Amino acid sequence: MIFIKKIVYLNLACLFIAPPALCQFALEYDGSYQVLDYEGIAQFEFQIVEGDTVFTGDFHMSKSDARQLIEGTDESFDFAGTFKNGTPVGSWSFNFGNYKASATKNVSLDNYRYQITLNGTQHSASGNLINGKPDGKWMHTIKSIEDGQTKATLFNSEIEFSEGVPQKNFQIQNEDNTLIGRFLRDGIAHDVWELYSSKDPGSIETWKFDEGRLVSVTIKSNDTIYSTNLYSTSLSNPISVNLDDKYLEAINLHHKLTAENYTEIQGGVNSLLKENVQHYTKINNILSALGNTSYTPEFIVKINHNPLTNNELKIINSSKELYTKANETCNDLLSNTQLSLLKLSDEETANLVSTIEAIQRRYLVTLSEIFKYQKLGILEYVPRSALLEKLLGSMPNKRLSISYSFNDTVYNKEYIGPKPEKYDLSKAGVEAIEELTHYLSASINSINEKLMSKLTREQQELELMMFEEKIIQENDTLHHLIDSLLVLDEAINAEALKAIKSFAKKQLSNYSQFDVMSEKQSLARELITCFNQLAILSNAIHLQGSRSSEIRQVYLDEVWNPFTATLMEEEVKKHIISAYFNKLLPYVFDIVATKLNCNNATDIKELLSRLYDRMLQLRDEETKRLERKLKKENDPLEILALFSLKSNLSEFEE
Amino acid sequence: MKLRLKILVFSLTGLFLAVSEASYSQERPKESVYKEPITATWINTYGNIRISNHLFWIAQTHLRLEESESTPFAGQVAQIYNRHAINYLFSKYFNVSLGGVLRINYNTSKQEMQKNTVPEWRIWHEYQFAQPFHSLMVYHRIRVEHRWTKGFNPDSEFIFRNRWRYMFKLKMPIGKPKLGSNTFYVSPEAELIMQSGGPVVDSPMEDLRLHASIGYIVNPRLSVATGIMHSHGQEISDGSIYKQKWTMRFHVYFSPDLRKVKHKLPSIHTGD
Repeated sequence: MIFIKKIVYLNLACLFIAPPALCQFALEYDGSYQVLDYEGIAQFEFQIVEGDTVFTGDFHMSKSDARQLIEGTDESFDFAGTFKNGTPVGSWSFNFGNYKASATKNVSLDNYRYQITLNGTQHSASGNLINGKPDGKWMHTIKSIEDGQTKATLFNSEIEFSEGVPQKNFQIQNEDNTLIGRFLRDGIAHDVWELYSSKDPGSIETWKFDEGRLVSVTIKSNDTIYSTNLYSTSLSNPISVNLDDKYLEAINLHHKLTAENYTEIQGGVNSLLKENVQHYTKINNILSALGNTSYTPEFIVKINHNPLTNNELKIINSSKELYTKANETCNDLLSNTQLSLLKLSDEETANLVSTIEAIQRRYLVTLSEIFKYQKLGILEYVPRSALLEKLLGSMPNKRLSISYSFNDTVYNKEYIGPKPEKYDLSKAGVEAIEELTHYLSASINSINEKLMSKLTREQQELELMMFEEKIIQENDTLHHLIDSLLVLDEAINAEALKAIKSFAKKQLSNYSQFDVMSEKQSLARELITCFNQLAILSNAIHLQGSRSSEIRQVYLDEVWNPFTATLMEEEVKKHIISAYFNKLLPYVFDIVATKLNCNNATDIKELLSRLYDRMLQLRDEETKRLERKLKKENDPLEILALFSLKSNLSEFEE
Repeated sequence: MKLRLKILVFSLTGLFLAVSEASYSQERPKESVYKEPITATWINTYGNIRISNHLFWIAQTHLRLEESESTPFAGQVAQIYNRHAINYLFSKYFNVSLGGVLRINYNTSKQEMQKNTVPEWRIWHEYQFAQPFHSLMVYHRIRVEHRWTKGFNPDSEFIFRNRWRYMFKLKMPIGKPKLGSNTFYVSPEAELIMQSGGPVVDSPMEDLRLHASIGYIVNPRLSVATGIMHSHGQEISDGSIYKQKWTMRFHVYFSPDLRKVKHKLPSIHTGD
């Protein structure tokens, strides 16, 4: 709990003369304070505007802890600057130290003070901000300190900005390399960016830009020069993006898809830029937590944009689903201990297991890579006509060569999946991915069926019996738990608990009616996990009873009633309480009652916990603006957003 | 010397007793007379405005109506009260108040050549003790008033009297374990008002008020109540005559808090 210790001045004239909305008291805070993970002592000025805290005036926050230093390592920091109406402006400086006391060397005791020299590193950053954006020269320096002296400069970056846009030349260096480059006035990368090594007199890496377009990358390694042409002609649909990891992934993928001989670009330029971005992000996180800012070095480059069509997206999403299931089946088969034994005594099993291995190795790995690119949002920057072929290294083929050993003999065979004529693997673009996924899925399923029938029915049943025993056990535990909770709980919770019970019952009956032996095992496994999660959810719902009464208690204030001469409890922040009890909890309980499934049980439990934590936080926060917004809001999802919470549950709603 | 003084004292006492015996034996009635009760209505607002941790500004406005020939309870205005004071809250159990009253008295008998309204001034101070007892609250209130009143005749002069008031009151919650928001309560009270001063010769008991009310606490800052009160007391002009009154009372209690500036910690709005 932090308290304001001092009010600098209180404009009393304002209190009586001006309308209250215009009244802004400049207050000063001096005490312990926390920003993100930084806990220290802060001195700052702020105003409360319409119920919100707005920093304005000088800001200083620092920490250095002698006790921590003595016990091991002290992470010290010091931030200083100025805010204007919530936006950082003017000169700012940041220092981060990571220090250890330098054992016994250079320790002196003088005038009741110990002086201890330090070992460690110091990161300092300083420069000017305009409207929260860097302006003028910004310097980031990391030094290693030994025995209280600077030993080496580990990192140094000097970038010139004009209202957030990088200008002119910049220089970034670490212990080994130095990167020098330049920008056009609008922050777009231009001309030659060169990387020098301390071990090599010439440049070791050259990136050639033409108004943001990366024309080529030349890398010198062991006196051999590799030159990679990227966007040698002008871009057909250029888009400006930040030079970041995503861009580097995109150009690498672009290069892979277009070049004859692909060599990955992973030189020093990349790693220096990455390191630089990390340091800028560190400062940006702190400034963003305090006010309005945009402190990111926006190195603008241009790239070709080729957005995914709706049809492409649909195909990729459905293929991904099919792929996930097929891949799981492969993993199940490859980790099945009975099959591992059986393939030693049965040649066909050995053949089929090797086929599964080959399918995974040859195709599923690449498919997974494609889905990863899609998730990262990179596919839209690359030509996709030969995506699959290029990433596989050759056209996909329905015939798959298998090599396996059985009884010390190596067999080379060929595998063709069921109904190969149904699939056209010669299609271009993402359609090729769709055809291949369907073909592989059908192949894996057919192999799965064959292998499952290989395992004798008895063996399977034995295994299943174990699972089913476990299912019954989990189900019993769940029912006992719910029955015991039902005795204790109030109506709203009881409804939810009954819903969980009936859902579990339904799941069990679905399972008992399911008779595809080959899939029953994985279903049983899922059911055990599901019952476990339902038990956790039941406990969370039971806990909600005590959480609700705690929250009601926390949101009471004692008010003196002079007419009865008694203290009376009164509910405060009524809109927040009402949103919690009348909108959010019914919303969550309704999901439990109507939309509960094995996938969202954990999310529901998480949401209840996060809501409870947030309610406790909101009690102490300045919430006038939030309360005003809540007054008009009925949609539980919007209310969650106003509470700064997100619900994954909507994904499960129909 | 001593003997002569004793004789003088005795003879003076004897003379005084003889004179007073003679005068009283002529006028003093054998028993007191109770006048027919009149009916009245009080509409009172009670404001206790919190101005600091220990200080309240008491602001009360009362409208008192009285029967007229044609209308019982509320035929005409009898008095308008404006009572202010500063109240100091020592503790939960004890508080004191000091302030002034301006009361406008309306002439309800309407005799010719009389004024319609006259002002009445008071200085008052009050000492209230409150104590919880099981689920109810018990109050003892001592109030002292120094009042300047005058009659409606044009030549009437201000007369000065003191009033000595003691009130015993209970507040009992209905259907709830203690007094709180959204709670009904019943409140019986008895108040004896004595008076003294030059003009008070044989009528020290000005009023005995027996009041039963039922109230509702909307929240700690607002309550309402209504009740019926019977009161009787001696006429100032003739102590043998007792006036009686039945009064319907309607009360609103409010207690706003003017302590506005709250020193709350600044919370950081990362999402804004």
